[in-house]
Amino acid sequence: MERRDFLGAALGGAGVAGLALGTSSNAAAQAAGAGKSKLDEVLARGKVIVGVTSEAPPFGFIDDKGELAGFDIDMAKLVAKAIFNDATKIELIKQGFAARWPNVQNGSIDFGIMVTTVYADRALRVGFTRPYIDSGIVLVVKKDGPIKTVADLNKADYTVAHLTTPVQEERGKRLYPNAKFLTFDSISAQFNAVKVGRATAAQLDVPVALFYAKDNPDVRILEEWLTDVTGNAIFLRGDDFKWWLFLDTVVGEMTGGSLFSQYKVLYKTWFGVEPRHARIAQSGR
Amino acid sequence: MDYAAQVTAFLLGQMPKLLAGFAVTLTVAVAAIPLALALGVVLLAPRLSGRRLPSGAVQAYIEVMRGTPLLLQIYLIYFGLPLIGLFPSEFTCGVVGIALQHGAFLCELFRAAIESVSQRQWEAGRAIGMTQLAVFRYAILPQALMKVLGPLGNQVIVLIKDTSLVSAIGVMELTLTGKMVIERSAASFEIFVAVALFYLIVTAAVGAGFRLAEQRYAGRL
Amino acid sequence: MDVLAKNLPYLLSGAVMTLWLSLAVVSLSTLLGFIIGTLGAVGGRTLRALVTAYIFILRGIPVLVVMFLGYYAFPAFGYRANAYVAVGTAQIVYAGAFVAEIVRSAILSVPAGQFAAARGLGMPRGKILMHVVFPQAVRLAIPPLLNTSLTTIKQTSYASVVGAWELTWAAREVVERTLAAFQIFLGVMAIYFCICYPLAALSRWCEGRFVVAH
Repeated sequence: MERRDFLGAALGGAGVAGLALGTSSNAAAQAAGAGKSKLDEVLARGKVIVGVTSEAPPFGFIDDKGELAGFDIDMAKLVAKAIFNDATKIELIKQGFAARWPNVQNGSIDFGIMVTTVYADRALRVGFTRPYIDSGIVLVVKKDGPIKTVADLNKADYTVAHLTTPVQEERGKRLYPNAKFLTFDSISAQFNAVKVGRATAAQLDVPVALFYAKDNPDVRILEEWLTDVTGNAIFLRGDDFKWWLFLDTVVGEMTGGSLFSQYKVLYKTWFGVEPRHARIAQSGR
Repeated sequence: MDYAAQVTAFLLGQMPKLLAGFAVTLTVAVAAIPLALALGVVLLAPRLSGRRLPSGAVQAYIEVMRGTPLLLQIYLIYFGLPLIGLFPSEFTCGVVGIALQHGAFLCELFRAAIESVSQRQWEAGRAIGMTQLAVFRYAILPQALMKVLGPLGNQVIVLIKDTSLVSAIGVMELTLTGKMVIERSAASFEIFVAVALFYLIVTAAVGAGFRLAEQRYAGRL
Repeated sequence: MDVLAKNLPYLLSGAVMTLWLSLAVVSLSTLLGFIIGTLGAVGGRTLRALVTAYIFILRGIPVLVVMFLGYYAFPAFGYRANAYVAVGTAQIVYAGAFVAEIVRSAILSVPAGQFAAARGLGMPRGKILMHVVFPQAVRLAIPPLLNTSLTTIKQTSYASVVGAWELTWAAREVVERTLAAFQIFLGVMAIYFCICYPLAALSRWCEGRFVVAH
């Protein structure tokens, strides 16, 4: 009896101790992580691990052959090429939108590139490079539907499809509080809700909306944007300057420097038009 | 212990949202349970009848419900119905999906309880001249009800836990609320511990309630 | 129908992932549950109380929430784990509680007289466990264990909600691209049914064989 009781007490004590240790090590681990940069880790590892989405064409989706494809995927491979001179030294991790920040914060992914708009409150939690593509949020609706402006949507019999990101819900409460909101965890589910008629409208990124509208003549994009022109960017862990500096430099070169020719090819493939050169545009030519 | 104080303050701040999600969870459960019970009872008659076609059909339905995940059934209803022009709300789809699956399990549960009442009871009742319906009502049913309370309590608890799945189609219940709160915070693990506690409270309460009912009912038999 | 046929290879690769997950979770949770359940039946007072608490807590929380907890627990304690390890571990811990309960009550239903008789014959405790109690307990435990394994396999589908790619996520990806909800979801339900039905049928057959009066 005594020996078995002791075993039980020991296990219980070990469990509690482990929990206490673990909780305090949370702070310790984050502090320790700040010492070593992801850049060194990636170089030592020999490949870069990137978080992407498989549910937001044309940025990340599963094509007819069952493979991960998209503009963001190709951009990630360009980054791998910039690091290792070999675009295959990359591991793409599909993740849901809700898992973006935790995954990059805890280091399971080295960086993420998945239709992510830069907002100030997000920058409190993760780091962003400069944007690699312009964006903005628009509404898609059925072409022959009654909605012509954002104000039209503000009625109780209309439904709007949102993504689980809180910023969309807040925007909805601000711009069309009387409408009903539907929440989805993937962009394609949002769009399809409008297409089959479950929702009257959906909040989408401009490039995504353009892609869908191209293949689906029965929907259209409202001229009135919900936001200013915004930027989609690569996100990474916030306290890693060395890694941020490198990635931001790469994005800078892609959008307006030595890597622009490769970026131009990608951009044209997915969006059909040529991108503007970041620096030439600024100089006013 | 500054970390613990920080976490507690943060969780208390999120409490209104979590409570709202909890209320939706309870609403889904309260809506689904009677539907599932009704379906279970309705399926019972064909299942118990000696005839092959109705019994076989119900058996096939139960096997399909047993062999496929509830999540897929919910997705099928939610994403499929709009294609034929029906647009029930995500709440309705979730409740219907849960009821369809649990109705099948409840039918099996009721059948097991009824069949476990000794055959001799039937024979005895008939022997003293009671009609089949009377035997069922006065002899079999009370005993079956007694036997059913335990497994029924378990099944209800499983149903309450299954409501967490409707988060996948956007019903803003407790699990989805937790997922969304995490977007704006850094304490992911702690949020879900709080979510788990909510579920634990309600399942413990329901479990205790059924055990109490079992004792009371046993006393009255 | 051709949408289903065209995407079948992709869906089947998802099914393979589901099978791997199921195999890992079922085997490891059964092992874990056996150990914990035995400890809960024959251990000392503290051990039994701990096991009861473990079973009570895990059975009262939805498996989806346990999966989320697992997914966020590793980083919270400073470890990095890929989605499968995190979700799989969570499921193993969850299913382990159910197995533990089954094993524990099976061992406790072996009549006490057996134990006393074996002691009377001078058998050491370990041998009693192995040669007298376990064989009888295992016969009692098999039908509910098969049921639990069936449930566990179906629950791997919920890993898709948490973020681990398997058959259900693959199904959603295809549906979102093709909008063919009925074809794809019904087809994937059929795939799950093929995976699960052998186990379900075996469980029914065992229920018929090992009918035990409780």
